[in-house]
Amino acid sequence: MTKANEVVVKVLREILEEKRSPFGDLSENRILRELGLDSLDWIIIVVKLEEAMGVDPFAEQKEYRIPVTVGDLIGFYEQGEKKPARP
Amino acid sequence: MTLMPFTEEHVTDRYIGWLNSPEVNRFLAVRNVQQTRETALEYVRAFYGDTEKYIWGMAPPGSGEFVGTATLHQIDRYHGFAATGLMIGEKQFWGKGIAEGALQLIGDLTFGSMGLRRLFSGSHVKNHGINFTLKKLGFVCEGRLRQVYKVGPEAYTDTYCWGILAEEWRARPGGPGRSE
Repeated sequence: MTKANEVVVKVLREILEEKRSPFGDLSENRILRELGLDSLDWIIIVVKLEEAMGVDPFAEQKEYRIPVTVGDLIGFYEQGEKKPARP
Repeated sequence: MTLMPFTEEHVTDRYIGWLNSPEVNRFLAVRNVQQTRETALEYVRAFYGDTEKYIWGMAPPGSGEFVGTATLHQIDRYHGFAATGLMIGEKQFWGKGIAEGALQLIGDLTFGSMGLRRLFSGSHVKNHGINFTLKKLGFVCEGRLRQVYKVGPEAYTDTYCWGILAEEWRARPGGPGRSE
């Protein structure tokens, strides 16, 4: 399991547990839209992931894309892991 | 969600406080200038001049109280486009669907009675809330502008350009006939 995988699932679980709505599994195929995330949840997720991973891949895109599945979200951060650290 | 005309009488200390709040104005162009009653009045009066543009107060369902403002500007009737922008001043209403509700109304107006064919908006690349909402509503991210807003002595931020066409607005899942 990559660091991105571990951190993304942990952050998603924290946010969803705070919302106190049942969310089931967070496997890589899980559709994010089904989790009932709103725009504020999304902000918190991206900020928490930036704190943990040191990168905000959504602010570095040529065109703003939002991941469809949990696996897609992990992929955004795995790509960030491969980039050299910023000075 | 209700949009009501935002006029000089709504330029209160509360509104000026929104404009000067570092959390609220973090992604707004006004953030670098201390706003006063005079600057705020000047801004609002500009919406009631010769150039066609609109500013509304956004009130959540069941409330007559504004929690932010929405604008429709850069209106070009010949080419058929307009730009929109939003500010939610009351932080407790962030993430409550206020922006989405307002944009639904503005899109319906733009492509309905106004008969325009393109609506666009710009957003700070790190304004994930509005980026999420625009994407959800079917806006297309059409590109990225480099170093648009000054955010420090030698620092500038990029913005995303978002746009949606009339046919895309009507065809999206939440389009005309939605039950909400």
